[in-house]
Amino acid sequence: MIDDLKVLDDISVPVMITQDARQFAKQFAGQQSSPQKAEQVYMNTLAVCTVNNYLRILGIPSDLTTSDSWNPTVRLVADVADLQITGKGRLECRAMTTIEPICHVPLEAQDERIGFIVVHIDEAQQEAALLGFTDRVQGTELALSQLRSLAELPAYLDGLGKENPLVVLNQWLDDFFEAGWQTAETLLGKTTMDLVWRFRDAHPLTKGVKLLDLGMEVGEQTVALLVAILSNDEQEMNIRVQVQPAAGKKYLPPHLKLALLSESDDVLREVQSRNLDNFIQLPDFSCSPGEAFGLRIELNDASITEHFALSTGQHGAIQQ
Amino acid sequence: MDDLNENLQRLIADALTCPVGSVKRQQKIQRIYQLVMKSKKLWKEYSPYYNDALQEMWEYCCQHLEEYDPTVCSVITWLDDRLKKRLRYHRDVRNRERNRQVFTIQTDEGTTFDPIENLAARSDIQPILEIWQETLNWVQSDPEERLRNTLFRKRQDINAQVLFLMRFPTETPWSIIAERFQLTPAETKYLPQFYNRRCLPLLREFGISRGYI
Repeated sequence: MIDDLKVLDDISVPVMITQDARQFAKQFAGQQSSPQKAEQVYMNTLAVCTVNNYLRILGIPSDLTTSDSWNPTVRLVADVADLQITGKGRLECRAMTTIEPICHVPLEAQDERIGFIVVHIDEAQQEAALLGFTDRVQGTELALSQLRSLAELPAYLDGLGKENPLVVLNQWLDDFFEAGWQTAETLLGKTTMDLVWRFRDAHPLTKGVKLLDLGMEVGEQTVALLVAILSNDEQEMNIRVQVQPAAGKKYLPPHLKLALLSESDDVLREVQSRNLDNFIQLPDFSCSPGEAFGLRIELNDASITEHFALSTGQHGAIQQ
Repeated sequence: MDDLNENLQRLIADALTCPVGSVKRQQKIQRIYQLVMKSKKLWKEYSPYYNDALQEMWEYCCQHLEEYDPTVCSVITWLDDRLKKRLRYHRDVRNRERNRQVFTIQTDEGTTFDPIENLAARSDIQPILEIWQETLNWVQSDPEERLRNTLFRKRQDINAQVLFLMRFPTETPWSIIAERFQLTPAETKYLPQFYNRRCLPLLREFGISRGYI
């Protein structure tokens, strides 16, 4: 954490603005329909290019072309300055023309981001300074005093993606699904998969699906993890979990295990597929607000664990 | 200066012991870059392509640290050599460009003759619609009705088309949008996420399908 803004000068990283960057910025700005939007896109593009240039020097792979900031139509409708970091996710690069204590980060630029870098752009000098980064923003104001030094960035990026994000189940009831999870309807729309919800009795409140790739050791092995909230009240939530084949397959591979884990990763229940199973399912279980559990899907040496929690208090507000 | 050079030499030597692409190596490179840039000891000139040459030098040198030989010169000198090479390259390119361009000519009578002015004008070509106009047309017409049917929590009045038109061409703040639709605090929080995850992909696809990328 930065205590003093004077310290910023020591830890900020100078990066020169190239002609290339300015050409892209001018070109993209010229596609906008208003001067304000043009200015916004101009700055966003300079910020993204500057960060990209810096990462190229460090040897951290990135991909401009798959970033939204590089997409002409998305730029029109959103204030986004994202940079795709290969294998990790998108880093948002926010520009400041004058150094002030607070950097504004628009809401649509906060979702599905692995972090935020603040870039001071001194256009007259054709020079930029990367002031620091952070992993999250509260509201839309990012205080510079909250920034971490760029020296910590390589380790931070390296540590990402090692664990799947925690799934807060209450939020599903608000129709909010974490990255990687989708409603069954969305998934059916996207693939030709034939997911069948086998609920003879219950009408679930909501159902989420995540495709899991167990492919590393076993070759093409995608399965679908289905979690359904059967009922929910103040005391507890009733949950049903199934694993089904994906990628157009009819049967699960044999010896596929599905385990329910406690908060401390002890196996509470486990089921295993046999030769011609269309699906496997855990016995229904319930969870109370404040509790957490895990689901582990295992096939030979490959395993994936997903962590879930039920927040206490209001819908969607997880107490820290 | 000696201190700086010693530090840099040590950092380079350390970096070379770390595997390429490893976090440790990236950290060493970051340190080298920071020290050098802050020292302001690199060769500096005021040419339009200086920053581009500098970027190229850094990319090359940091990916080829093994080429530095401490017995030959200081680190700064090694970096400068590469930098000046890139600067020469850009200067040559620029000069070649210059020689290919046509400039105004001074005639013997002292008047100015501009060859470009004397070229025949192009006949009127159908202007191509700007990207934003094409996009606006597409959003407004929504030919496959996908935008209208992408709903926020089953509300017919809050769909991708409506949201796009509120954000473009004029960017309505999210707070105003929330007010207009009388959203609860929870809904206000999730609307931008809905916009990012469900609406933007539709526009992304459109951009790609039109070959804008």
